[in-house]
Amino acid sequence: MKEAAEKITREEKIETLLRSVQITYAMVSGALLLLAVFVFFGFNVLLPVFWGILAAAFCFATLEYYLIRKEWLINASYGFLFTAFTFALIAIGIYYSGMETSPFIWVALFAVVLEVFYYGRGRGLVLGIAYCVFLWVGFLAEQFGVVPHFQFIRGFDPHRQIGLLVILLSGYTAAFLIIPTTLGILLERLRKERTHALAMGEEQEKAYRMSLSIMEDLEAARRELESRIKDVEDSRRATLHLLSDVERSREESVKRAEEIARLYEDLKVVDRMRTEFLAVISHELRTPMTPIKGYTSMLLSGTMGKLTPAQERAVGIIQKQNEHLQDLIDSVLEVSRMVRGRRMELSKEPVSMRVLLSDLVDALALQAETRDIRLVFSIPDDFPTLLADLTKLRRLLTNLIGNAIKFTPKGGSVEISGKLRDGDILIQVADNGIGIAKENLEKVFDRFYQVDGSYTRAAGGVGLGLAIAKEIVTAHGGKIWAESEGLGKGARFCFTLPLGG
Amino acid sequence: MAKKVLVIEDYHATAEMLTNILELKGYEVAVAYDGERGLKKAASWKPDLILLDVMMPEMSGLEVCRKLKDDPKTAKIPVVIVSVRVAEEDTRKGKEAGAVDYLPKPFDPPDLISKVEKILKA
Repeated sequence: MKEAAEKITREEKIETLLRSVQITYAMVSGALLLLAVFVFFGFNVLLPVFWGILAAAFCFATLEYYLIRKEWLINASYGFLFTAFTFALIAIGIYYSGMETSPFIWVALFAVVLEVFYYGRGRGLVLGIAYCVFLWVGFLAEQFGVVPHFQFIRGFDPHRQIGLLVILLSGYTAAFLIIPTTLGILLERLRKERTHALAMGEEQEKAYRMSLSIMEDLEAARRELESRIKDVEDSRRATLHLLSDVERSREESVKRAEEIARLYEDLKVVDRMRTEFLAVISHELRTPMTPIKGYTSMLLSGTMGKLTPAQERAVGIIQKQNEHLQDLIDSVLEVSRMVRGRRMELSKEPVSMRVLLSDLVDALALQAETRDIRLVFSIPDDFPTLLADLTKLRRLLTNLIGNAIKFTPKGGSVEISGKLRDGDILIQVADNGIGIAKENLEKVFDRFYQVDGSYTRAAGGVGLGLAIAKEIVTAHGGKIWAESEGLGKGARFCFTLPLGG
Repeated sequence: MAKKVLVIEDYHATAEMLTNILELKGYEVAVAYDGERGLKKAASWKPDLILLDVMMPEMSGLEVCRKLKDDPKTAKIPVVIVSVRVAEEDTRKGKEAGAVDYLPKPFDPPDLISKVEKILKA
């Protein structure tokens, strides 16, 4: 930028210098011409004026060229006035210096050539014709005596005129044509170059600036790219990290899954072992129970001798407890069968629910009485007989009613009712005991489920009673469920059995 | 002459109880505590009825039963299986082995007596 400004200043200086040189030269050449005229023609009154006018014309011509060409002060339209003025001066010169013999003819001719040279053939032609017309007019006017003969200028000598002509031509050429033209051309070239240089400079500057901004942009882009690359690299690392995390956690979960599978297999083995153990244990337990049962029975029947009442009572207790033990063992065996997915085996026979229930109520009456519980039993007289496994049904009902008695507080009541519903029989055992929370209504039928510690006395004490009850009902093709309004609001156990068995 | 009942049972208490029950009813009772001895006793003594336990060490009751049935000397002796195994499957296996009846343990002595009497009368 600074360099460009300096360049302009320098070029401007050169131009100003050249211009002043040109003007000075034009003025000096004009003065020299005047001086030459005075030297050759002496200082009479007319001649200095004449040549002065002529020299002024040259100067003007020079200035015209210079000024018009540069369009400095005077614009193109004034150029014509200058031409006209030049024409007038030259024409007067020709007329008063001897017409066709006048050396100004050459000047006129030269002016025409210059006119053609500078302004084109059109103007040159107009000027040439104008001179011819003027000369012919002047000639005819002289012939008819309108104007006197032209040779009134004193001391006019054709030979000297030729010498003068050469000087004038050379001077004029130098002043008017060669030097200004050369200078003009040079100047023009300089201007052009300067303009070009300026333009180039500007362009370069622009380009430079553009390239600078492009560079800046590129730099910014590079930085951006770098940061992007960094970001990408970062995210790549993060991804790698994540991937390794994922891989690690995948491996961990695979390991865990294997572990779980192994545990599951172990558990299955343990479960099978437990089930087998249950089966074996229940069989093993039956073995010692057999002689206990046999001997108590024999003792009580009196086949081994009469017992005292106290002995009979003691043996009776042993027998009852043994039966209870057998029940427990049966439950365990039943459950182990259930666990193994074996279906409960039923030996069906016609069962009168009414008879069964009244037997049970009789059997359980004592138990209810000791707890001051009212046992209500309502079943229609014409209740149908159904095909079922009597032993299993007895077990089922004993369990349900026994539970109801156990979980009903003293002074409460247990109601057993039977009715027909949709071709099935529906038995309900309702108590007003501790009740069951809603979320546990289904769970109570799960194996080993106990609502709380107080349940431990129920159904053999290992939470199998209701599970077996469910199994019995299901094996008969019925449904069992529990109903309760909530804890403390009593419970109702219901089951259905199809009449067809 | 009293009828002869052979008890093949490894559990001594049960074997003794069975003997007691049957002797009280007037039967002549012999006890074998394992299958091998049971087979020998059956062949030599020729009982009228055999009460056979299933779960015994070395030779199971079912195997003993099959051998008894395979041996022409003992093939005609009725066998009642007395076992703690009470599932239908076990009953079926017992019958397949050639037993005439199946009595689940623990049993009531009158049940045993009635079964024995029924078989021996026939």
